[in-house]
Amino acid sequence: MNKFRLLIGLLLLSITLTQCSACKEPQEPDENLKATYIVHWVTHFGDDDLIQGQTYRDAFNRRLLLEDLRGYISEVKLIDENDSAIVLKDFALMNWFADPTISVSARSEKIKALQFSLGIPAAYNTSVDPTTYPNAHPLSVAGAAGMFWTWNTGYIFYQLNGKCDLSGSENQPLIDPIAYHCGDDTLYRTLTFDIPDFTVKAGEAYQINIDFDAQKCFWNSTDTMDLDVDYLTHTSGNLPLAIRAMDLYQSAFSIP
Amino acid sequence: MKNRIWFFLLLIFGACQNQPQCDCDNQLAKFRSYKILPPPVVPKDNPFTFCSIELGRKLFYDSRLSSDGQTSCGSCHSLVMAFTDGQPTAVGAHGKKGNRNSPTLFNLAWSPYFMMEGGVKTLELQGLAPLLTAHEMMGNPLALSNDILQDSCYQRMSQKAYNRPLDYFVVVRALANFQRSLISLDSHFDRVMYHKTEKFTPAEERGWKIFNSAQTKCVQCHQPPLFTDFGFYDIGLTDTMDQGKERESYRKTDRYKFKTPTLRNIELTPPYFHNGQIDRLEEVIEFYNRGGDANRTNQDARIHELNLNENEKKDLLIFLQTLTDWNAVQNKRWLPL
Repeated sequence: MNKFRLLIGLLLLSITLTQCSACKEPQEPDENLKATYIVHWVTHFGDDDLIQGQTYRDAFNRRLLLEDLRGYISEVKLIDENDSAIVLKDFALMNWFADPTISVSARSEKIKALQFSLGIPAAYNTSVDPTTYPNAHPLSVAGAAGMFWTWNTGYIFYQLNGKCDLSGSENQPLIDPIAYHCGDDTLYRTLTFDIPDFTVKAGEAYQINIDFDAQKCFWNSTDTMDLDVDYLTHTSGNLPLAIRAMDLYQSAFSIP
Repeated sequence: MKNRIWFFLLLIFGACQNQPQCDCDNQLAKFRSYKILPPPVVPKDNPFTFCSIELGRKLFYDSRLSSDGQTSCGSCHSLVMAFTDGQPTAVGAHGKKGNRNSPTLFNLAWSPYFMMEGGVKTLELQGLAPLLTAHEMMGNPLALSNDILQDSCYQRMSQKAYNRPLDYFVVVRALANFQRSLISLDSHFDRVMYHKTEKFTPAEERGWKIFNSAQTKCVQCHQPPLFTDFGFYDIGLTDTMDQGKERESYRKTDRYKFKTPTLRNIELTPPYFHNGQIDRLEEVIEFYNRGGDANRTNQDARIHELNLNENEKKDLLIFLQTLTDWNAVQNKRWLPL
């Protein structure tokens, strides 16, 4: 009888041990075995540093003041030599005045491209309730920090607020408003930058610089905002201007 | 003496424990069987409990949700005016004026979308608009005010209703459930048409016929029982400041189109139209009788001269007054706690 009990006990023990090993969750690789990828946006306005509250010139040499320049980026990925993606960030709200950088630890691979999108993917844009995210999440009510339209559910992908002086004088107060608030599924843009192949060893860090020239939010080689007429869009009410503003904003990013 | 002290201590303890405003029943609330309408659909992540409704009611009248501490939802949605405010356009925190008339909140439980251009899909999300918009309550998106967060009563109700501390998740859901509870289906019209307990007067009967007639076609957009079809129309108002549905759809064909408002309790909700430009119901009837004012390309084809005579206009007005639910607008359960 005792032997029988012992046998049953051993059987149960072996089943339990087998089950436990089968249930083991896959372990995340040790942080020391990961590489650190830093994506840094080098921001400027033409030849000048980009500073909040600074006065710059538009394409017609009129003074303009930049007060707010923010945007969502999403699906920030590195593309490796096998064309598989290492996702660095799902969403981030970038204040382009505030040393925009993201730093993420991920597996070490030979990297050949960087990809990110401007805006929020359609699946998360209009059908998601921002109150369901924790406060620290960039899509939450707090995290969005006003970059969410409450009257017409959806996120503001790109927001530029400022003032200019349409009189062209040098000493009049800057009172003419500029507001580009762009956001709609059709304005979602994906940028891919091929970069010279590199591999970061585990435990080491590598920084990728992306150039962001805020001047191009106002003019580039194909389009010019005339702030006399092209000064206001909340997307709704002036979709054509929102499309142009988004195109110009997209053109502001490049590989240095 | 000792016994007396214990008695007083127990009394105080009992009083603290028994704050009626903080106590709430977390049982599921049921919608009455209205027969004329299916039960409203409630989102899965917002159980329709008595506790959530009571919490929503308390929040609805709490001005601490606004940036000036003086503006609550109830400031622009007063029960006695069928949850409107009598103003042409709403006045928000710090006296900021909006550009739209405060709509009634009755029967939102059956609304498929919200706002006058229909850009918000749930009653929960709709709550964020007044809470955070600059010309409404201008609340802080980063956090609720400390006054509210430190209110132990709120925290207790929040834990009970949603099993989490008070935050925007809780606030918009509780407000939504309170609004879902605001049901007005007990007018003279309902008692005549659906419950068969009363009868129309001859003038009301004539007005009802005019309302349904091919001449006026009122009933096509203001369909019973909710007296709206939730459609969007340009009815010929001259206002060009507000682009209406076009703001949401980006289509020029939607310019100056607004969602059909309900006509229930219409006599209690002046002034009228999206911008509150018309003060009296008689003038609204007159507006439709002359076929609107703007005559733009988007104007709905049914807006044209109706040629109603004075008696017919009077009868129509008398019929519209049958849509007033006097029980609803005196329901104490919807007043501040």
